[in-house]
Amino acid sequence: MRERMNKEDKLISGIMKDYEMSNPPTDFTANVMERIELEPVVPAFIHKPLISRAGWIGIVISVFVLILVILLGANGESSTQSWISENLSWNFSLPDLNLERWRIIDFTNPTLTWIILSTGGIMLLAVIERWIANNKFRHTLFL
Amino acid sequence: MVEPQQDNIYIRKVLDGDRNAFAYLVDKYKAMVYSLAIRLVKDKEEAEEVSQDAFMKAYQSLTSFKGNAKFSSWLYRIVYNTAISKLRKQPAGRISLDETNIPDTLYTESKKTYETLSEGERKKYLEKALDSLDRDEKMFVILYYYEERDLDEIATIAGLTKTNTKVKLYRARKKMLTVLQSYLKEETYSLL
Repeated sequence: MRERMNKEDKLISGIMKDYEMSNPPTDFTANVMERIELEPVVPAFIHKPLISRAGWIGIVISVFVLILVILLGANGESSTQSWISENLSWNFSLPDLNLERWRIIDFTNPTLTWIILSTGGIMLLAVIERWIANNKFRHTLFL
Repeated sequence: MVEPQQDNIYIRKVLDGDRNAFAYLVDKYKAMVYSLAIRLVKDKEEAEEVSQDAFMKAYQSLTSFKGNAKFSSWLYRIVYNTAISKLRKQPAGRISLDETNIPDTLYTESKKTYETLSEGERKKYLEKALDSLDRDEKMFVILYYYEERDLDEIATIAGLTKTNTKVKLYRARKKMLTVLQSYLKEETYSLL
């Protein structure tokens, strides 16, 4: 069976070597371009990401710095007693979030909570942007 | 330079507002687009209309071309859909096919006979064989054997599964051979 199919395949392949493409009229390109001239200058939509590459880099660096500051500042008691707050006289404290019911993660630790929330926020932004980029025109072309 | 990369350069130019850059893509693909269209609609004027419409749709939707697939595959799919929309009310002609009727020796004999024909005759028989196919099959045969696209690409262009595409291609081959057999019969047996 397979051998037979291969023979057919080779035969058609050989026959198709004689195939020649049909050429459209000589003014075809000019006619298409003439119609395009009547269209708006640029196709209607150019995808611009909601957050640019530089924006993403900025966000990631900011979060990384924030996490670093929090971790360096965490001495087991309160972030207000960190070396940063002592040296810079910076009175900074993160609010305690009452998320006791979310027992899976230790939300009693505000540092951990903020790290999880900020990471989750960034991931959510990335997912939303990807979703918009993938779906915006998916169903518009082939009717 | 790799061909799809070159296409992408011109696509970028069009998207940046240089609509004349689209002429490069039209020039490059017009013969293939028109050839597919004429096989699908069987009329020169309609084929030209379908080809022009396909290029217009491609231009208007260029922003939705993601570059994951080849531009040509994306364009052929537009051609196919445009032609199908035009032909929706016209039923495709089919020929009866008796697959078991093809003798096993035919492949060798047909090949020999076919090779002895003049170029003009070969083209004539090829046209007749292609004309016996329905529109999908014609497109599959041209894309697979002439453009040397793989089954995955053809399936994407036609919006079918790979298995369906394979089956259609198999049937197309059988049809072409049946038609060729009938035309080459005398010549085939004269060689036996």
